[in-house]
Amino acid sequence: MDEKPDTEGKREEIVREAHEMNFIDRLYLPALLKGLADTFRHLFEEKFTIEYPEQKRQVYPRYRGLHRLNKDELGRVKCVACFMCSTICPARCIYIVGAEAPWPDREKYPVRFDIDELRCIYCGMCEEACPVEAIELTEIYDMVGASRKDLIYNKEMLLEIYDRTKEKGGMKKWI
Amino acid sequence: MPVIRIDQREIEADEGTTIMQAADKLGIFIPRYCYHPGLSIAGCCRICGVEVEDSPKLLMACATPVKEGMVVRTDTERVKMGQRAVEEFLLLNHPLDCPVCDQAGECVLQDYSFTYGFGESRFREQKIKQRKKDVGRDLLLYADRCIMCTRCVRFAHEVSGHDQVGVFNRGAHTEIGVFPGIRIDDLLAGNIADICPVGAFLSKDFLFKRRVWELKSTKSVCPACSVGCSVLLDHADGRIHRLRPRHNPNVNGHWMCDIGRMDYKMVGSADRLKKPLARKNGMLEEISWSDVIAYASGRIRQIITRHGADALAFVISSDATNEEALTFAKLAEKTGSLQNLRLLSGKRGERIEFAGGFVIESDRSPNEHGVLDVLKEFMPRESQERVTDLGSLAGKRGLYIFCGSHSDRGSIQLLARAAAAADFALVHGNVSSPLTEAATMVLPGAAYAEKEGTYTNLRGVIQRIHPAFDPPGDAGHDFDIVLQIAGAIGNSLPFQTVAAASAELARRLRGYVSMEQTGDTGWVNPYSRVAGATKG
Repeated sequence: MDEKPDTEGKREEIVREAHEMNFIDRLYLPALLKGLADTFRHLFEEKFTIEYPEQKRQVYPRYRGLHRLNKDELGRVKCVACFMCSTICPARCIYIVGAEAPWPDREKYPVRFDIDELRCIYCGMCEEACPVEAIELTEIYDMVGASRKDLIYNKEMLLEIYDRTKEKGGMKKWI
Repeated sequence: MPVIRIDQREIEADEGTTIMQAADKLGIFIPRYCYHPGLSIAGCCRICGVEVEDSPKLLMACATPVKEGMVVRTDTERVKMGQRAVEEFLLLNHPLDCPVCDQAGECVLQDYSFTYGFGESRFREQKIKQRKKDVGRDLLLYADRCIMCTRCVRFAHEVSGHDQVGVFNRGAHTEIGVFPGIRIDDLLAGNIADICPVGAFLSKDFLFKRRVWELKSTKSVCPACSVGCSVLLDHADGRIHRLRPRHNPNVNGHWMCDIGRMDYKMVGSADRLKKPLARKNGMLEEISWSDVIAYASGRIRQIITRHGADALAFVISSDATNEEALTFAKLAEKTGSLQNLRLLSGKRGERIEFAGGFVIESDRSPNEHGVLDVLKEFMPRESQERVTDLGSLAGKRGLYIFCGSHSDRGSIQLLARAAAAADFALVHGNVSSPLTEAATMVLPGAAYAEKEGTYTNLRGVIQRIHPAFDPPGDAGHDFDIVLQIAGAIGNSLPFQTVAAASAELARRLRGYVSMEQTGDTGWVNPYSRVAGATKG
């Protein structure tokens, strides 16, 4: 191996392409003042930052946040444990255990319904797959937990999210 | 034999067969609901209509025998219109509750609706709704999902012969039902849920357990009796959720019995041995694999040197595969205790024969024939008649017992007494029993769903079993455990894998083949003592 890659020559070329600094450039002062002028100009313009968490950002109506499990008119879980959401879920974050429903008008219901909100990628496929509009993504995006386990939401927690967000309407809000 | 043309392709069909059978041979698929190869022909679902030249109407492919020079078309517009119309009629009263129906995913109605269906319904009237009915030990009937194919009625009449199911009412109110005061409680009832093309008959045991698309199927053999029905183990996450019969003309035909269907529960039971155990101060305590192998082999060597090889006895249950029996017999041969090699027989039950010829044998363990074949190959001729005589083992100082979950209870009690009296009793098994309680050391082994090998059934059909998942906890594979014990005693065996043992078996035993050669339907040993197969 006699041939060496010609890295030296290439570097020289790059240096030559760069802007040659004159005396004023080398003072650095005009560039500094230009930057400061930009900063101060923004002080008097419209502000985009918000004071989170005192102020919360208004999300768009189709925002996909934390899941909720809807309830029917009688306050029972709407889900029929058909496993469509857990089947379609690309992150495999939904775990369901189905059982015979205790109500005469219903066939099957979920005994367990767990969603790992850390594994979830919030794609919204679960709500699209649901045949009974039982699972929906809400506008809640601030989920806090002291451990990873805290962010595995079970059936009771997901039903509680419904109670918290039910006045905001259902998934079909954008139709 | 008549030559017919189906979709421009010629085939020489057997005399007396139907258009559908000829089309199946050609690989041309004609949809079917009521047709089942194991039942008589009804021709009532009307989905298999095909166009036959010189016939004014569509003819039912399942019920029309072939005739010389017949020209059949399965892909014309008229055929497709017929299929669409039938689909629409079938869905008139169907509740479309697929999300909560266990059949969804393996439902023929669902599949055909996609392939041949209309895609929408013009039915604006009220659908007839019905409550689900508890019709048997393991069967639920959702009559509103039924499409009236009458497979269940024909099954109950022809195969099980118990005739519990019938067609009631007329016209739009026709429904499948069970005669008043009768339940579908015979031992073939589970097959009704299998052959139902929709979710009308469902198994209570499998109800809502899993969706079918989550299950993986592994080909296996039912261990619950010596017929050895070919089965599919449907499992997910290391648990079996149900068993289904696998068509095997050599053994079980299309069916299997409910004893075998429920036998899978043993695989996931709480009684399974999960850790090696050794007796310390009179109590069985957990111990590591390396220690238990070292201690056990040390004790076996000790007994041989102090009392001779005749003080050592080897017992293998009829649950073992042929390959495990071979390794076990080799181990006995190496230690010089072949005259003390014994078979632990399987449970015995009533022999039950059904109207359709399906039989549940009285020997309720999977491989008594195979294990006996192997033991007799190894044992000296004069001790062969004592191969099942477990009483003669009383007074032996060392016992190595390969126990099974389908072993005879009386024999287990007998062995437990012998084990308690012996200096050293090594018990190798997969579930706890009085025998493991009496053992000096316990080696946890695998269940049939976790291991590889072959079983020989009552009629000499050699069938292969495949592992579905790993044994629970620290339990090991029986074949490897015996190999390790042999190695630790200082008698390494000439093979290291199940496949090599299987090849050795094929070389040594007359009429045997290695497990690769058995295929999906098994190898019928031409030299077997009982020839023929169960009709089904």
